Amino acid sequence: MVSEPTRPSLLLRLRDPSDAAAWRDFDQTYRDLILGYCRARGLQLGDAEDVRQTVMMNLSKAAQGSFEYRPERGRFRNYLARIVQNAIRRHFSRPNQPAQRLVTEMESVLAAPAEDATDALWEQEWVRHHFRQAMRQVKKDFESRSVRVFERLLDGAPVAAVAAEFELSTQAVHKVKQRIRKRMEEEIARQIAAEDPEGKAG
Amino acid sequence: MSEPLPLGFNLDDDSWLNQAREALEPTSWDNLGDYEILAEVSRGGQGVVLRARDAQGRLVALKRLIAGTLTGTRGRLRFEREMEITARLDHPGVVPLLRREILDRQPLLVMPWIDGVQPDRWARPKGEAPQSRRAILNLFDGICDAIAHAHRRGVIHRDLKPSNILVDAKGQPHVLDFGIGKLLQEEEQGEHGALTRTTEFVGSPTYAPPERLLQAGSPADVRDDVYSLGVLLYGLLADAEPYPFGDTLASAIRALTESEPTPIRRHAPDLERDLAVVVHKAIAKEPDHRYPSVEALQEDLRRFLAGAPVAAHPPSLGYRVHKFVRRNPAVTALGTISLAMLIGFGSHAKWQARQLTDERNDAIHARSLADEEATRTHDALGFLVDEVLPQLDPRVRGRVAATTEVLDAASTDLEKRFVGAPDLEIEVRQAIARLFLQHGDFAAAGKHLKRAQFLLPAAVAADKEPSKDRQRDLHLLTAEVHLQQARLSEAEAALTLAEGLFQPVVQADEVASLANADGARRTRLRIQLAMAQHDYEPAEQLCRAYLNALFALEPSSMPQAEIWRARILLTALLRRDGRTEESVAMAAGMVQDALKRFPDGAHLEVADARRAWGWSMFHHGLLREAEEPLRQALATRKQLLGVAHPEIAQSLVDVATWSQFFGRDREEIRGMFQEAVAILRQAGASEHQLMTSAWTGLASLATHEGDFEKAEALYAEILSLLQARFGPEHPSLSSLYMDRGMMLTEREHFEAARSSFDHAERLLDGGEGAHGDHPSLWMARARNEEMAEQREEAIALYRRAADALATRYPDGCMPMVVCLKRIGNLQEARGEGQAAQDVRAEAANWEQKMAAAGVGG
Repeated sequence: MVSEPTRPSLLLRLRDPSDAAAWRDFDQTYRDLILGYCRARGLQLGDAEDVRQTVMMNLSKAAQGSFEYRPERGRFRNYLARIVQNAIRRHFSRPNQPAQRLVTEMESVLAAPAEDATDALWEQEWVRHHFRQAMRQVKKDFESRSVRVFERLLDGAPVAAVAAEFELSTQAVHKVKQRIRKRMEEEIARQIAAEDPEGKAG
Repeated sequence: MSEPLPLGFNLDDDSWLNQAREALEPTSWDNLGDYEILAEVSRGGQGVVLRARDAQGRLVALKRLIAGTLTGTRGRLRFEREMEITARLDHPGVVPLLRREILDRQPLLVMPWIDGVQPDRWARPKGEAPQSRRAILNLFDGICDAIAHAHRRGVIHRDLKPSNILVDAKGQPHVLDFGIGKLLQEEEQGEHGALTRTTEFVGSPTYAPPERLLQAGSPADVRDDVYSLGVLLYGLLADAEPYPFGDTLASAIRALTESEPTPIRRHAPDLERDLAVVVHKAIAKEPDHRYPSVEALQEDLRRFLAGAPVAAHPPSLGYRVHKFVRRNPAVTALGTISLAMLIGFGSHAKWQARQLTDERNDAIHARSLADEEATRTHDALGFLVDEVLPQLDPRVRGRVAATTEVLDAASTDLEKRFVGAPDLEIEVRQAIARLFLQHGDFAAAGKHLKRAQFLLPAAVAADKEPSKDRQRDLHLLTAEVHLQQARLSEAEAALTLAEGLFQPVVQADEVASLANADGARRTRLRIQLAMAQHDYEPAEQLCRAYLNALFALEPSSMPQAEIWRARILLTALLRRDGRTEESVAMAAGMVQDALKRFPDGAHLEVADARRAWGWSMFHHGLLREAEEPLRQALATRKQLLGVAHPEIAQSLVDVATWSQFFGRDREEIRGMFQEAVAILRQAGASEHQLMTSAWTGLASLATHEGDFEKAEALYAEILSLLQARFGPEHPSLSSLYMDRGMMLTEREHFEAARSSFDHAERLLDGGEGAHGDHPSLWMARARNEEMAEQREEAIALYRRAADALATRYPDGCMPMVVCLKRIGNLQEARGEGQAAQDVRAEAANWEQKMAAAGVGG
């Protein structure tokens, strides 16, 4: 079974600013989380891209200095949330920002207290992030037929219909679903554990 | 893994499936302006590519550039100008730009949607037979057509790689993203400096020419694209890359510096030898060894396809010039001018692209469209063609001209040529000043730099501010020239200005910043400035930190020339500090080092090392041994520098000073000092420390010849010069007061001599009541007292000097023996026979000791 490199080593590798692959991996892993969160907070694509860019820059800065992230000071999830939220705040407080972009709804979102590192939107996007990552792994680990069966179930097709489509017994379809779910849960647990390598969270 | 999953994962079957479904749905985005976003196609360091439908219902590709500084006023102009030039490309193989706009504050490029695949995937489709070699070469020829078209219009792609090319269903290539490479490279070198480079260098360096990775900042050239095309062809033919690049930029740079491209036939053994030769010529590390143009590459490939022998191999003209200059160091004019073409006038490549084709009219057309780039090119080349090159004609002077003569004649009316283009004039003057500096003509260099500095505010006002790098370089150059001219406060001011343009340094990076590409020059100048100000202790500290930082670099990125200079500086600092043994050992090692690299000794670094070795030995008491290396250094410098160069003056002063010490032929000594003075005057270094050394030497000669008037006049002149530079009470004036005192002794003005010696000693001790050892001064004092027949006083002073020398040179040295012998004479004259015998025995003892230890003198 192929196991992805664990996050801590990825974070360590970010300290080497010339390690392009580390930056690419990091970006690939977290960009949808960052963009998804921005989208959930009502940002436009352009703004979200800006924010993502700022986050990468700030991470780069932090990594080149003494890496700011300290496991004992809290979960990585919260650390990243703080960086993203700061980037959003800074993005909208830029002087050349057209006033009309700050719609009232946005203002209320932005007014959220800075210390509230993990708002519900972030939690929701964080959950989605782990589902996506786990699914990516499942697609590598399972034969493509099983994955296609599972995808049909995700599409909302009833078990009986999927069974007919793939010429399987309903029991076999249930089994695929259970196996993939179990595998995804394992993978998610591993991902979450890898996020905070020391295991002790604040 | 046994830990329970947090909320959101731990659900009943149906909710879990719903949650997973929702999570896996792609994030939806609104429309972007008038475009309906259909899908995200790709995402990279440069931005996002989206498939979209425009208002007319056409399928388009949108490229949103992540380019923060492109959206400011200046950035937008740059973007507009670049896209304007790109929009003039009109070729079936070039994907046209339908529209360009700034939307949501980000540059957005709109291109027609091309249904196609990357050439590498086209050549080897999954599950199907690969394309034939001929089909690949035909496709490649089509790609070259598109690039050559762009070159003729003055556009270099700079970012050619498979993902920027699409092959449609008919097998026709379409090249994307002209002009983007330039914008992004400028961006990278712009405001964010290294930071964006690290975050944005997410692409593979495979297609970037080595000079782009190894020396950032050198101007792009059509041969950049030739290289990228070569790597592309390599991949298409062999399904491999020329270098085994790792994941990091550092490993790529290591691969580039330490290895040669893997022979393509190792990956594709059945590839025709001629074809392999063509590919390798295209990807040569040295730009000069590549095809000079895309057409030349195409032509050779067509010859190959037609079965004719390929032309690859005869070295290019540029290469031959380079070789020629290397072989004929005295004829440096042509070499440096061609260097100036490459470095100073960045548009050389475009000029070349135009020269190579008969589509010159395009260039003129471009100019009439007020294409700034073309105008700049034209102006810079006009200068080169009208002013510089004609001066190279040997008939102008009836002989081969020296570089400085050529530059001098060519640059008389520069300001008239660059009216309205202050940025360009600054650039050209900077390049010329650098050449003058390298040739030791500080006055001429200073003149051009002064004008460049004067133009800076005008350029800023005209929104043509040179880049930070260039401004920094301007100030560093200015500092270096002032330093050479011994105008220390001006040098300090320029250096401070340059330092203000460096990125603030994070504490942890402080060491590294001493030695990175730009930092190295700045640090070296700081050390030299401190030395010139006689602040030896901080100079040594900085020098050691600097050397450590230099050595901490990756071997491939060590600036060898700077390391060399730093080591030379360190030997001088060690000598100053009396640590002569360390200094001798270090310099001797450097001589060996240099000779290992240049066994025939014909290299300036050999001369530098020998000079350092000579003076180190001299100060260590190996006085006679110093002669040979000093003379060799002079000979090498004369041979290699050819024309009058301040480094020759330095060696002349070295040898003359040594000869004077040993009382050699006065006429030879006088000749050398006078030649040195003439060279320094011509170089505009009249205030240089060397000048005072030469004058002091001449004054000392005058003293020996009894021409005290002349000696006195010279001393007065030197003194006023040094006082103006350092202030009236600077320690560096002490040697002058000492020399003057010695002259006064000869003149039998003993009281005046005493007061001059007092002055010298006060300066040496810093006037704080501290007393150091000054054996040579004490010897001079002793001689004054001896001449004044103050024998007791003289004996005491000789004794002090001898004791101090004995401490300093445990193996003995000649001056100490001289002191002892004089004591003997004096004691004998006083009728103290026994004491005289004792001290003579002591002297003989030392002489034996010296002989045993191999100390000459």
